[in-house]
Amino acid sequence: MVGGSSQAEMRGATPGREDLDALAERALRLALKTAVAVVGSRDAAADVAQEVAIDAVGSVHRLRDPAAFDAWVHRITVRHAVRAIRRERARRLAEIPLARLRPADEPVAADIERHAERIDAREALARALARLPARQRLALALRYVHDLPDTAVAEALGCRVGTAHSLLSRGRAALRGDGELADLAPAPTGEAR
Amino acid sequence: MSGERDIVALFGSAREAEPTEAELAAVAARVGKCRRGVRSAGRSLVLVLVGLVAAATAAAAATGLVPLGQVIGGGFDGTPVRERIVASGELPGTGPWRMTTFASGRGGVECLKLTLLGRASPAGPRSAGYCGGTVAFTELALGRRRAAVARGEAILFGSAPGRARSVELRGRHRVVATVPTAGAGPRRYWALAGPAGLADAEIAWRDGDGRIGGRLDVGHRFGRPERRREVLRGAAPGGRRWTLTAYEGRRKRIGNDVYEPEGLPCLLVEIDPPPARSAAVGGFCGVQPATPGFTRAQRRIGGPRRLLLLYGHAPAAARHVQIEGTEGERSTAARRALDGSPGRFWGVALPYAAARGATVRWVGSGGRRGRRVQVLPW
Repeated sequence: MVGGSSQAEMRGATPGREDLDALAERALRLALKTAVAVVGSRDAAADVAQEVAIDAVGSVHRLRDPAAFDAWVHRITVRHAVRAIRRERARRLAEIPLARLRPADEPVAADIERHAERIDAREALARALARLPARQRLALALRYVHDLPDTAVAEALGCRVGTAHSLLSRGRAALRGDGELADLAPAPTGEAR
Repeated sequence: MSGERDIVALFGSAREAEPTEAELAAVAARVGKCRRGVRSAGRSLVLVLVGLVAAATAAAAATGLVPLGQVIGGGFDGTPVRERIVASGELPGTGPWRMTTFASGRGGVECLKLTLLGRASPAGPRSAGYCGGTVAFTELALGRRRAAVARGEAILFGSAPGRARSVELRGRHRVVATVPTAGAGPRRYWALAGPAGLADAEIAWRDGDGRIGGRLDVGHRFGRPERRREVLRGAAPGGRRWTLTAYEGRRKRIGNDVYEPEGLPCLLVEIDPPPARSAAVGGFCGVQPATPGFTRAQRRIGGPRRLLLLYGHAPAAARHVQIEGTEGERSTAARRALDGSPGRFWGVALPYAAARGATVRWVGSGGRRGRRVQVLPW
């Protein structure tokens, strides 16, 4: 999160290449996390994130409040992710499992059991999310990937807080009612202490 | 799947997603092309944004205080991981602290860590925490016997539900400390300090209206050290290790429910690395009257090999523990406690197929045998 300083003291200076790169990188990181959760493949998520980063840098002059940079990136991400989801559905592509989302995520020998279980969870989540409407997916991603409160989710989605709350409730209910995810959910910890 | 925590866990992969070097380079190349498109009116804002990021980073380097949400290097055991700062604050006697979460290097289990940023006690640790899933309202002690006692206080920290706005520490009939919770979203974080030796210590969280939402008995964090001893270690097929620790039960409760009675023999099992779908730590207190000296407990390890850990006490006369199941008969040694103290213990990890419907009993020299105890469904 950025914010909390005077804008006037920096006026008149010229942004350098490094400055824009830093903003683009931050936007890319934020957008990628959301996109990974809501679009079907790692490649598609990377495309969305890249478009968001370029969009964010190219139109940064429209942003009035520096502290709102993250929220602004989320709004751009929502726009691009919705388009990506629609394109995906229009082409009737098969959903690519989330297991492929991290190409560099090769397990080391000691972690192989754990790795297999995590892949199960990613695949199941991808299938469950693919059954949800785009805005429900995005609401869930903004809440559970970025820990945003309802107000911030509503701002990113461009809707009222009540609508965001409703999207989250329905999304959560759908995930909880998903039989495949129910089998995967971790058991409560800390018992018998 | 029932709670917020389960849903948060499902999104763990997305939370950890990071761009590759190639993706960063691709964006940097495109930014170079569109740089001319940035209007002069926006340039000052760009620099403000970048300046703020840079200023925050510089401040972090100087004081260790970095903004919430920042990702930093860290970890517990030397394995490099990326920690996300979720809360920070200051304790009166101890100074500033920072709380981070991260996925452990050994399997991606969620970890919570408190780091003290002020002047460290020469005898005490700077950071402490745990991995293996964050329950809704937890408490942890930081270096109670070393740093805390040296300072005359015990530091507790943990997480609380998103509705929690404050956490208070109570002694006998009085509130000793109240701290606001930090962070945002479905989970909040807290840290507080209390005087060592506080009697009947209990923590509770309150919501925005001042209502108590949950209590936790933390008397064991302030009283005498528990006499624990590690009594048995073993390794399950597939690389997971397990440890049995014996101790005498202390009276522990949550609200009015006592979940650990006073004075009973307790056995704690810890599995490392933690299983994916069950707790890393569990155990029981008490005896099984039908089988004097012998107990049977079980814990699911799971994994591709689908293992169940059976463990418990064995009487002094026991040499083996015999498991009879549909796949035939097996046995495991009943071993003496590692530290040489009285008592024998046993543990064995079996595939589900071998454990399902099986019975266990101890076998001694001269043909002595204990009663059969059924393995419970899991």
